[in-house]
Amino acid sequence: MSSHDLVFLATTNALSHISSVLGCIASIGTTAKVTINSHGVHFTAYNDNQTIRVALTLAKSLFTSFILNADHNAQESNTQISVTQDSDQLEESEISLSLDVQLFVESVNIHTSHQTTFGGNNASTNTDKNEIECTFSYQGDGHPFAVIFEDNAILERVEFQTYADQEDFEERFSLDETELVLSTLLSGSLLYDVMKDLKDVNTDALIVYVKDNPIPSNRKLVFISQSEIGHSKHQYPSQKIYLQDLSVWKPQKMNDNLEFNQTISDSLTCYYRFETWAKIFRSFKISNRIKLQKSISGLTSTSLLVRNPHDQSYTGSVIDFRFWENVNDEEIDNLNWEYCYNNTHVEQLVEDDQNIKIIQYALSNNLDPNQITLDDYLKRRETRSHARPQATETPFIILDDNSHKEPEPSTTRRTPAPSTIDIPLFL
Amino acid sequence: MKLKLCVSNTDVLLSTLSAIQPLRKLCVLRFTPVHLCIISMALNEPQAWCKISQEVFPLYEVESIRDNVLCVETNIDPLINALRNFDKSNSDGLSIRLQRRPVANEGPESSKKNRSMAVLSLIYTEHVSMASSRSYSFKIPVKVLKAEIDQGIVEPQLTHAEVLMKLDRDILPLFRRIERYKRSGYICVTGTNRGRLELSIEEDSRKVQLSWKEFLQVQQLEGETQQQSQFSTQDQDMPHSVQIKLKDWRLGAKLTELCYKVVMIISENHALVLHCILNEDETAEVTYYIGGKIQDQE
Repeated sequence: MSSHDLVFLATTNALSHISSVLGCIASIGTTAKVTINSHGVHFTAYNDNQTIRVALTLAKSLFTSFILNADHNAQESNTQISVTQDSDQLEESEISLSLDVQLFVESVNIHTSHQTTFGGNNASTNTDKNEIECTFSYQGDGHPFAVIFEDNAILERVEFQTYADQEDFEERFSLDETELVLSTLLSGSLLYDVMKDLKDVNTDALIVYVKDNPIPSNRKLVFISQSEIGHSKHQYPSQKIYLQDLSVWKPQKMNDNLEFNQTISDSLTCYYRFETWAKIFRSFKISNRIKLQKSISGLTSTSLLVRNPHDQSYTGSVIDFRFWENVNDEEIDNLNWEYCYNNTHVEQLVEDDQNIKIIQYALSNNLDPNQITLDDYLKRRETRSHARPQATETPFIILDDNSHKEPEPSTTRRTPAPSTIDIPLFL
Repeated sequence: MKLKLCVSNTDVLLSTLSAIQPLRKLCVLRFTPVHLCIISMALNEPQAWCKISQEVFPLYEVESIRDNVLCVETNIDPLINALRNFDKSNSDGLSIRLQRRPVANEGPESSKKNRSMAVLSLIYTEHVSMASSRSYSFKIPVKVLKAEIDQGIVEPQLTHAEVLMKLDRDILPLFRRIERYKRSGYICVTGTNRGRLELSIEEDSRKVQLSWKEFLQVQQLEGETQQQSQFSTQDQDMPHSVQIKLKDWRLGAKLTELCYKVVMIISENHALVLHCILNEDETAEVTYYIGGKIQDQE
């Protein structure tokens, strides 16, 4: 096969990075649309009922060589333009195909670690020798998408059947930057920890409460879990290293249009079914930074920046999950957005700080040993039910804990108390 | 009929038995004056033939009216368990004997039926302290096979073999690499007479080809080369393939991992044979026969 016949040919050594970010795609959908243009390789997938869309970009810089002959199909021959030389000319040209991303991930997911564990003779040279070079190639419509993995000993060639373009739901998921009501920049691993705790307390519904403040440390981002056992509040730390940016906008009717003004006096609440977050949050763990955005229509985007730990020069791959806020159409629509602002019920949940135990979230190296994490908290509750841990000063994460009202705090899991709004969290 | 064995080191026996254990439980143990053969076979399924030299046993006595060959059929699971128990103890000798099965209430009609039933009795003594010791005895039911049945159990013969390839442990990464493809029922193994090895799996929407970049050591088959030289140059690298079930392949790959030396034999469209030497002193070997997928006649 000469490079003449190829529409796309690219080589990379960043297999472990590609495998980990592609795994995030495969967790959402089976079929992915692959679009290749001068910026890189883009994957898009939807879940079965098209309520979540995930998009991943593998930037061109991830590849050691990247040749795209997008005009090949149209012009048939001799204009072989290499993107590396002439990117302006090919700015708009792109090719697309669809393939089974589950199979793709299965193939890309090569565990190289155990290759070096056996045999005595390669112990000295196992660093460079076993690096697998991976080449993508595609000959155009109707041809399979080929991936070649090659190291010093093994040549693996995998061909994936490609499908004609799948139905596109892109329009439904396009985020209007001019209609944003929330934009915030968070730490990936910390948001993962919050989500994991929310899952551990069997969250059904998730309320995200945000309020901006001119003093950064007074900004508020609170995740409120609603579940069978009641409410719990997980306050995201407001320090700059965790909460790098937070902006809230509020629309105002101006004639027939809405005008969006940034606000520090209004709180914003977003309401989600947790199952959506449960499907995506595992990916947060590998991300360095997450940009969380929501538009007035309820469309939410979590954009994950994933760096390659083996290549500091790479700017990172971006995984973008988009999904919708879960609100009843009768309750709220585009014209009834008032509901999202200064919601008194949610304000009450957030402000009701009396007799609250504090659980800290921080990256492990920043954890104050005197403060307690959720794990500690739960363990202590189980083992020493009468000696309750001391509340600490810094409010990082807050769990509702009204158990002191109980005459005897119980060590076992209990059924929820009769329904009041603030059902204590029994664990 | 008499069988008297002694085992001090179970390594060879245990590694052989555990290598073929995943294949099936019911095996034939054939004691001959020079070998213990452990045979795992069933109709139209892969077979394993193991040969353990009598040198492995400090004591090895077999007597029978059939040229001192004794053949029994048994479940190897309790045998493996007993050997492992002995391994864990601080005993230094395990004696294995064939005994008549003790029958509680022997009626006249059952005695005939039970004539072929016996037990393999495994006995060892563990020293608890200077003064006291504890004896363990395992009785594993076996069925003594009659001469005509035993003679019917014969090792498969290949009518033709195109490629004989020597595999050493360096090949294991190739076998591990293909492990992540589990969706297909079959795998195609291709070898060339110059020593290229390729594994391929075809699924509904994915095709996988894995090849080993170096030439493997091959043994030239005389008949083959002569035939080929009539119409082509001897240099030409001819591929020969056989398609086998993926689950059979995986057992073979696992076997390769356990063994010291392996020769892979490809009988085109017919069978794949792995001839494995288990240990360095070559006292035990396993031959694993995998039948090829019957090709569609066109």
